[in-house]
Amino acid sequence: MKLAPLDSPGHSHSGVPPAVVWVLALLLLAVLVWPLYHGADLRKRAAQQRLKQNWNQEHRLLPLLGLAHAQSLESGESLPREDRDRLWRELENYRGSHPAPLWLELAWLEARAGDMDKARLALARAKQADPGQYALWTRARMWDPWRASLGLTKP
Amino acid sequence: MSASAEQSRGSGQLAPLLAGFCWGLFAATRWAVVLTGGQPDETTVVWLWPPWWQPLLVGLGAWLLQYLTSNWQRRWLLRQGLERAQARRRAARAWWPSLALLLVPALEFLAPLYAYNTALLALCREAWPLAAAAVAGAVCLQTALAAPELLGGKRGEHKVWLSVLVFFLALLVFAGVGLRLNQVTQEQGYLMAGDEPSYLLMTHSLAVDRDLDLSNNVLLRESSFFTDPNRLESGHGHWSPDRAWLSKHRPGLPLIMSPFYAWGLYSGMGARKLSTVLVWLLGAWMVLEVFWLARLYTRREGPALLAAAGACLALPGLIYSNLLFPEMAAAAFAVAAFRRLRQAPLGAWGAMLLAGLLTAYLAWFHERFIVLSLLLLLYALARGHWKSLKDLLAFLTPCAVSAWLLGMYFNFLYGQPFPPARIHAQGSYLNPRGAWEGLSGLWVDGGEGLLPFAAIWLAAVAGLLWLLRRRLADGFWVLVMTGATFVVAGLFTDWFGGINPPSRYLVAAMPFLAVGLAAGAHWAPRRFMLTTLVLALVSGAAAAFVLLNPPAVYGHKIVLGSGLQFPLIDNLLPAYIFHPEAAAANANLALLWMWVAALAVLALQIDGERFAPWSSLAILLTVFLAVSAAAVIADRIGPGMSAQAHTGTRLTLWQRVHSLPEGGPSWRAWGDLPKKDLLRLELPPYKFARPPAAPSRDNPSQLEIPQGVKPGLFLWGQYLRLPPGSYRATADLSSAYRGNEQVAWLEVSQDHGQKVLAKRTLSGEDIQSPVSLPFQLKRAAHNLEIRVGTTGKAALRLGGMSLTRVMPKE
Repeated sequence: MKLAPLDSPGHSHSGVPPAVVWVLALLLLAVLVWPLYHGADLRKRAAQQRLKQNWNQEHRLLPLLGLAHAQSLESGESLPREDRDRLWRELENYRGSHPAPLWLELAWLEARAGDMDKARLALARAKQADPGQYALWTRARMWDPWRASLGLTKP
Repeated sequence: MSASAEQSRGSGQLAPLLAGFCWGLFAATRWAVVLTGGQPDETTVVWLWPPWWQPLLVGLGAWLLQYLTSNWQRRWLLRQGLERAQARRRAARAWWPSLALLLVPALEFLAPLYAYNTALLALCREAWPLAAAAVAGAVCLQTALAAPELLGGKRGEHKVWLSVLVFFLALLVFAGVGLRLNQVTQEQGYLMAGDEPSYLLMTHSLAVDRDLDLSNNVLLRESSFFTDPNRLESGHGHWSPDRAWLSKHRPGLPLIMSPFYAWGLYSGMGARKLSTVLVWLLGAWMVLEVFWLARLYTRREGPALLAAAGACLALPGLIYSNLLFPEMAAAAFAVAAFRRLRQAPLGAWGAMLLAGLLTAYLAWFHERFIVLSLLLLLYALARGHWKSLKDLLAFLTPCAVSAWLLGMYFNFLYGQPFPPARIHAQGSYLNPRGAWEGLSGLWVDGGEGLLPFAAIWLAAVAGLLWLLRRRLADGFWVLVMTGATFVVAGLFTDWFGGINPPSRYLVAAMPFLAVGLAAGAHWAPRRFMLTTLVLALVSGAAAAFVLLNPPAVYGHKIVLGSGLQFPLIDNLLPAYIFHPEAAAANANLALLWMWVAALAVLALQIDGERFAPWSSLAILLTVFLAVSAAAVIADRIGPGMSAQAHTGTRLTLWQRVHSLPEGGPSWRAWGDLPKKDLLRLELPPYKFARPPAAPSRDNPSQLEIPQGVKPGLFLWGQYLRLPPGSYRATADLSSAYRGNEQVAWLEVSQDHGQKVLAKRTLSGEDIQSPVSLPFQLKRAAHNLEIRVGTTGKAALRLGGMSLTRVMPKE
């Protein structure tokens, strides 16, 4: 098989210096990736936006939990008791779909704050809501620091 | 006056006159509606016409238009420098292809000659615009060939602004599709299914947590940022050895999508919306690369623009510009790497490094793209870059690093350097039903095939063969890239790629296939462009239909055939997805249409062109008859035209009958079915039954509902889309109980049962004969259901159900 010559007939010069193109491209890239720099702050920001917009009343617990998750990570381990109590109240009155993962998230927040009784209670509620989801998600490594104290079996 | 001049004048008058008659007759007979009904063995066909003066007026109008066009055509040829007599003679002879139009009404009116085959009627009623376009195109082509000195492409300098224009036009088209899908999402709910939410959840995890562990994202229900908050989205995940919940999908797309997703979260503009912008950009880049590659091969901008238009406007690229799958990204990366390898001179290590990076990244979109990566590596060697160590290192280093990392990643996930077959939905790589299903289904399947949804790719295949003939090496490698994508997809057990037709696995082949359009436009005779034009019309119609009915894209709720009067698509093409049980019939239908496609591709390889109107007429007639013959054979092999498999077809008929002007004659071609029966849609109860209803032992098409069950619905789920109008739902309920206590109810609802339009309670006395429930729709209704419930008071039997469109006079 004979190969066609290595030509480039379609090539054309725009006249813009390559350095300018590179600088512009890097600038554009920097602007593009800039929100990634915020990382976990994005969760907090998105949750705050939802709360401000009064987003989806049936599922209003979702941004509250998102915010609590972000704050818990931000403040090390201690999410204030009153914040967690509010989450308990909201979750008790939750009428949206699939509550089991939300109870598990609350259990994780309680465990991080050191309240193992409440964490165990939240786990029990999760199991009650959906035993399948409970069994699935309690296998995650996120429970490992408190697995023994919460009575979770090691997978 | 000489004899030849007399002959010339005779021909000069007769041909346009006959052509005018053909166009007039053709136009006048297009305005009838044909209804079919009855069982396959006793088909009834009824023609309904508007008042007689309307077809007459239309026919005369078409004739007048032809007369004016022929006058203009003659003057145009004179202006090209032809002698007066020659111009008149050639102008007249150019109209001979119009005689092919007579075949259409002839096939319709001479039904006894071909044993009343309804497939031909269907073709005539649905495909006549294509016949008209083909004939008009042939007349234009012959007129152009009458002045051959006009032919010949213009070549000039490449324009930089054209590349910019191509990119932004493609971006505009993809953004337009996005707006349309967004509108549908707002009207009908989230249009998202399959793997898309999983890719987005991975993107979310990368953007927010900077990891791939989805467990916390699932517990926080963060899929609510891009899909229905009621859904619990777990990202198609599985546990890694260290018990992180990882998606079974590859992180290539989520990684490049994460900045856009992050912008969506940060700005509050919507994470999915902003993520879609990336796919628009990738799509526009792919189109631009196609334009550049086609221009490189043909050295002309016209054919390159045609290739770019094909890549941009035809399915599946058009719709996958807005679906968050890695297909569009892989298409862009593959063609960009390929073009760089084609253009890079020896020693251009920068271009080779870029090509290497693009090639290396392909496998991170999905492991099946490893095949393309390997082919690109071979192409780099075939281009002679093995002679330069610098080139080789620049290309191979990213590929080797990527391969090592990917092997490690798979090894971590699965304990082996390549994913096991068990991770796929069907648990295998190769199709257990055989290779033919996928390899042919990818092309011609009624539900997922490429050609029913974008017939223009048939011309592209023919064009690729022209590229092979004129530039052997280039044609070979483009065909290899296209073919490899097809073969990998076709052999896979889920070759259809989910529920978004045509098969998404073909998107990566589109840029290479599109180059064929440019090659054909550049090297093939002009009838290639005529064919492309006709196929573009079909493809455009299919694309418009898909965009008007996005449920056609998601979930197979509507098929292409429901946009047509006859179920051409449903009943003449193989239906591997819709009717997998008819494997043998599907395989035979696929073989038939693959033969037709192959013959069309071969016919477009015939070289040479000259002014020959009679040959053009003969070719047109041959094509029309060949397609007709294939339709008749398909009708015999498959379920047949009269099967009326899809209710959407019947509803389309209703709409046409309803909008037909009143007062015209109706003509029953054969059979004895009253017109009102043609407007009835049977809804077999067994198809929509729910517990406690069960098929009757003596007649499984009927339902039995026992006494003493909990009150509730036992039949629902037709999910019809009905146009505005008056309707009557009828249920043939019966019971041994004849008292006046309520035993059942019949109701009509829309929007998945959210809105009840009409309801009737039924006592034992009421159901001693079939019961009806009339209702009216002021607006089109979506997801309409006719539902039946039992109170449990008495045992019931449901013998049949139907929906009737009530015409104004009834």
